[in-house]
Amino acid sequence: MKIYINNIEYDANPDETIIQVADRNNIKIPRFCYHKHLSVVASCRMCLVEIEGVKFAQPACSTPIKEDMRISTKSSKTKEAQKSTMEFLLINHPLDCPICDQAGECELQDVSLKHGDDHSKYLEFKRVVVDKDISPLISTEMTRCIHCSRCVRFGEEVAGNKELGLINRGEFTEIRAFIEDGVSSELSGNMIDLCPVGALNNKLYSYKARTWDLKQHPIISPHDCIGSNIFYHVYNNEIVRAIPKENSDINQTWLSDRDRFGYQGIYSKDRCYVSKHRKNKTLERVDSQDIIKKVNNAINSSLDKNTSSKIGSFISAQSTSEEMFLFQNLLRKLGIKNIDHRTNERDFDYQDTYPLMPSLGCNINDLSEYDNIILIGVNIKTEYPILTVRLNESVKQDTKIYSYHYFNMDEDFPVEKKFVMNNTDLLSLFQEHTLESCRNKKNLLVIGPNITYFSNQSVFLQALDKFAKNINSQIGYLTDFCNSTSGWILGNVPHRTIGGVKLDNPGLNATEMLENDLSTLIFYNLDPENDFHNSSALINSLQKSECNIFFTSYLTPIIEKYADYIVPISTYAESDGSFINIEGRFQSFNKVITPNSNVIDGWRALNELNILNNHQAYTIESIRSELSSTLSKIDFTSKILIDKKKYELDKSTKVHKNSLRHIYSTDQIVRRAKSLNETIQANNKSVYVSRDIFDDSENKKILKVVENNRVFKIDNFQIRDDLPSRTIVYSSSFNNKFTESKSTFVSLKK
Amino acid sequence: MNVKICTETFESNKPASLATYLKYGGYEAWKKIITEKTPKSSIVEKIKNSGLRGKGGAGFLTGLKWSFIPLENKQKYLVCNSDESEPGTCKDRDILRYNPHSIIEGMLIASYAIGASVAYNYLRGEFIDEQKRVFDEALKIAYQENLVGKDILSSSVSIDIYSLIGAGAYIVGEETAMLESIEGKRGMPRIKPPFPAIKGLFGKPTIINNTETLASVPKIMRNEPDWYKNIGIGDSEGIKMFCTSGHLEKPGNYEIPLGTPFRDLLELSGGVLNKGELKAVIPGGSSVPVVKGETMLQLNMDYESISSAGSMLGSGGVIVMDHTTCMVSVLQRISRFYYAESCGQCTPCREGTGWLYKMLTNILEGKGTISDLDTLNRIASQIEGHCICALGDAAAMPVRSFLKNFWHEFEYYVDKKQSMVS
Ligand SMILES: Cc1cc2nc3c(=O)[nH]c(=O)nc-3n(C[C@H](O)[C@H](O)[C@H](O)COP(=O)(O)O)c2cc1C
Ligand code: SF4
Ligand code: SF4
Ligand code: FES
Repeated sequence: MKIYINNIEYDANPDETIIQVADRNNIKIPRFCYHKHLSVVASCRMCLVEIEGVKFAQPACSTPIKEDMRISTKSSKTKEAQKSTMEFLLINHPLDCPICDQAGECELQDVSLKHGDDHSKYLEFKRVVVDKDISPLISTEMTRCIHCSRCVRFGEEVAGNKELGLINRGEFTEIRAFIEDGVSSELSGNMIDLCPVGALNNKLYSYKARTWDLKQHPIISPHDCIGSNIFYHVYNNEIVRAIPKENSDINQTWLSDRDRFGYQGIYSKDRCYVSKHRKNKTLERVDSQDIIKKVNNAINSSLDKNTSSKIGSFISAQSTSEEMFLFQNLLRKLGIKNIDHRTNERDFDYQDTYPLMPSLGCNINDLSEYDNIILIGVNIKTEYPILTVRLNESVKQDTKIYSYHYFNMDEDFPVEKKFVMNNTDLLSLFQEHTLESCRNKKNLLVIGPNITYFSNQSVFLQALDKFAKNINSQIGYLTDFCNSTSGWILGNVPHRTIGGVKLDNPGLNATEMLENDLSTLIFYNLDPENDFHNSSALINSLQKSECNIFFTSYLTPIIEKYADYIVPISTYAESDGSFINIEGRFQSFNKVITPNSNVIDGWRALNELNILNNHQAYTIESIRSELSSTLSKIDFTSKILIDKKKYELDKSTKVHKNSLRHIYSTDQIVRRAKSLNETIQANNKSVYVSRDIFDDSENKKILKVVENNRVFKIDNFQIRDDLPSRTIVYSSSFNNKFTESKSTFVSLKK
Repeated sequence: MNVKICTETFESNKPASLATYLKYGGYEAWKKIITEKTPKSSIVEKIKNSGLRGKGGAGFLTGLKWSFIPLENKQKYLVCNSDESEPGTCKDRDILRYNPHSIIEGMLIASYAIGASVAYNYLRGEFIDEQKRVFDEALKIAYQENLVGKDILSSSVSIDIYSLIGAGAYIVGEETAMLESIEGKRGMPRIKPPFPAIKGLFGKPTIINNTETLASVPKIMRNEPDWYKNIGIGDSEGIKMFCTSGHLEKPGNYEIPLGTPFRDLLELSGGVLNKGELKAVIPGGSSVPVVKGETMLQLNMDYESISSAGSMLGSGGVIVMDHTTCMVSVLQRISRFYYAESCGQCTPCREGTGWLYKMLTNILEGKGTISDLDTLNRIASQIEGHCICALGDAAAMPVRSFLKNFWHEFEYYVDKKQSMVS
């Protein structure tokens, strides 16, 4: 079909509106309420354009095109209509641009510059709206609101959680939270971007800089394995805010609050800015020039004294691919095989049958092609908030979503059916279970990281494999960290080297390293308080080991107590790096800010160690080219043989203790992001106990939990009637008070 | 001149009772349709041929509207618009309380004709005490008699009727805002297209008709094909209720053939109060342009005649003003209504209605200038045609027509800082 805009012919599809054709051809039409990812309401009337033969100018955003339609975006009728709308928009707008954070990137400012008048004919009192404090992340100046309703539609249509709405009528129409401080969506920050004016603002960015003084740097989210694309805005070498970088394959134009506000963790007071070495039981400051040499000497003298099997090394899967590559490259060249990134796990029997690297099993864009998506032990709303957008889209295209979990949690998309059972019941269920609606359909079973915490993870994975076969489903994974993929494929596991090549003599896994009285322990980018499955086992081995080396961005009490060497390393934003997301997409980024001069670039520290040992030296470019050649050679399609090992079902009547990944404590950076930890979600930190456990207990105030022959007392617990029987769940945001281990069987002392 | 349709039962002893309605031939048409299984298309055809036009304001041909409903066998809805909030209009309220069964029968026939199994009657909030009670009582009886409900009179036809009550917003009278409200949302008009006949209530094809329109349907169906068409005077077809109000001896509801001279309606209403002088008439509810008295006396009460004078027949609310009326005050009062009732979604209506009202208030307070009058005209023309629903136009039209017809009075006011008439 063809139409004419300003007398030029354009091709158009019959189901398009005028604005779609114009946007595709870069013809500018001003707009406020229209947004390509939201429904069309055509209420702001900014996009009015003249159509030949139609008396009044019509909204381009809602008017469907017709064959041979002739539209003018420049005629005097169009101009008059747009100028008129602008006049109306401005009469009640405070025009307080000098004190507005939006100034400089304000759509109202931009459009009024082009289409507005230079002075106002409105001489009446202007509307004033009293503000409400709606969230620790969003500040409001509702007098500036132009009622475009983008924020309202976002909540309703994209986030699946309508928390803002219109109240009152006419001139008194206001945007308000239904519950006064009630904006709690994990995607709430997007409303800041959507708001065309300075009504909804980034609270963290308040009065920090003027937009035209900011430098924009692209980066990839370090908080989950989806790999959302972000722009950090930097002022005077400080990240002052984050906005989405559009990527239609991943996060589209959205960001989760975790990805938007998580960078605050970089500025935590826990940051480690000095190199240290323990001498005579006290940590002493070391010149940052010397620390790498000292660490090298320590590793080499340990290698001289003991065998390499007495050295254990752990790396966080939040580290960049470059760091992970160099970490295992260095250690393997030194003959050290005890390497693992799976510090949150306990049971590793499954490891030989695991894929080369975890993968979602499809592209994020293809999720809506599945008839059924079956979530196992994962809460998308709090663990992968950005996927809420995708699953909402999928449901609109008739995908059905099922959820299996030991904890009853809300999702912001419709869930067809929820199965809430304790670990053992789930395990038995998966042996025989089928889902009728999966028959002859395209199905995807998604296994979440909570499962990897289970002390019988291997049995679970085997049962899930059976379940998947029963319902004829693909299997996909969502991982604990943003770069667990690299952890696997780049050889940061004891049984495989880079490229997933199997080792005949594997090293010790994360649990074994803590149980084998090693003499030297190396930790890279890990938070010992939170990032280990069993922190008391960790402390035990730290005590026994002769030398503990920490490469870390943060100081924690355990590090300060047990470290012999502390190397202060950069965070993700302070160095060049890459992450491989759960689709297998390799995404690189460059350093955004320069850290304190004592902080050492992580990959450079490792490279330096390589050089000191006369190994090959690398640059970021040479690492990346080696990585891409390794990755390109891998045959990801090859099927892994399924283990024939027969596992016993644990039918004991013990109690299941599980740790639930809390949205704002999944990694060491977000754990320290101040504002996120002031949100409503962050308050939600408790120990939940099922009703039967409480009923069985004689002491109703304090529950005594016995794990590994040690007794832990829980006093501030909540009874949840929707918890399955024999279940205790605690939020992973808890400090270590109860974390004997992340997930295990316990018994209760009466 | 003596034909009555909607008001037929009004003078009876118990006007709302089923017995009264039956006495006037009530439900005969409905019973005939379901026993004979009259083809839907022939009902639509008959309504089309009768020339029945919507009585809610726009005067759209009812049969034609019904024929837009897609034929396929899917869920459809009928909605009866009893929101009657147009200032000057008070006809539906009387049909609801004095002739409720005609509405029910009309809703049944319309539902049948468009293939809807569910129909809603949406009443304005203020009708909660009397009209809703009377209508619900009639509906209950109709259910008891199995005239409504499942398997009606063993015909295997099933139609359910529900009544619901608004919360006091004028804007839900606009048909798509009404659909939003029925769906439980904030009453805000939708953009068209899609039109409700294609995508209406809960996304399904829906017909919305005014109470009077639907109440007229049974009697049209009972009679010969051309009966309704021939009622009117001259070229105008059919009959309409007019609600006369203002400076009149006998204001009230009068059901008269279309084309009746305005003089006759004035006479029916007892003439101008205290034999005063007719200054101005708003012939179709506050949303339509005002007409000068002397012009009005030359017009007939039909669509063509009124529109020849630049106004509209609208809802039939005829507001009569005598020589004591200050046109500045009237316009300010009308503007206040639209200012208060704008739903607030469209920029021109949300911001413009307030601006108009505030300027008119300033003028009344003696703070106006002559250039304000031009600004008023300009603002009104900036609202007109630029909004989602007709409320924007309804706010603009009175301003333009008052200024046009009574400019000197406004000029006098800003100049002398007092009204020309007081
Ligand atoms: C602002 C506004 C208010 C309206 N209020 C009413 C009303 O109170 N009653 C009514 O029947 N129609 C009202 N209408 C007209 C309806 O939108 C619709 O045209 C009518 O119900 C159709 O019925 P009809 O074809 O039988 O006239 C209103 C329209 C607008 C724009
Ligand atoms: S707060 Fe912003 S996004 Fe929301 S309606 Fe107002 S201007 Fe639009
Ligand atoms: S014209 Fe006014 S009442 Fe109608 S939709 Fe727009 S704002 Fe609402
Ligand atoms: S962008 Fe078209 S009306 Fe708002």
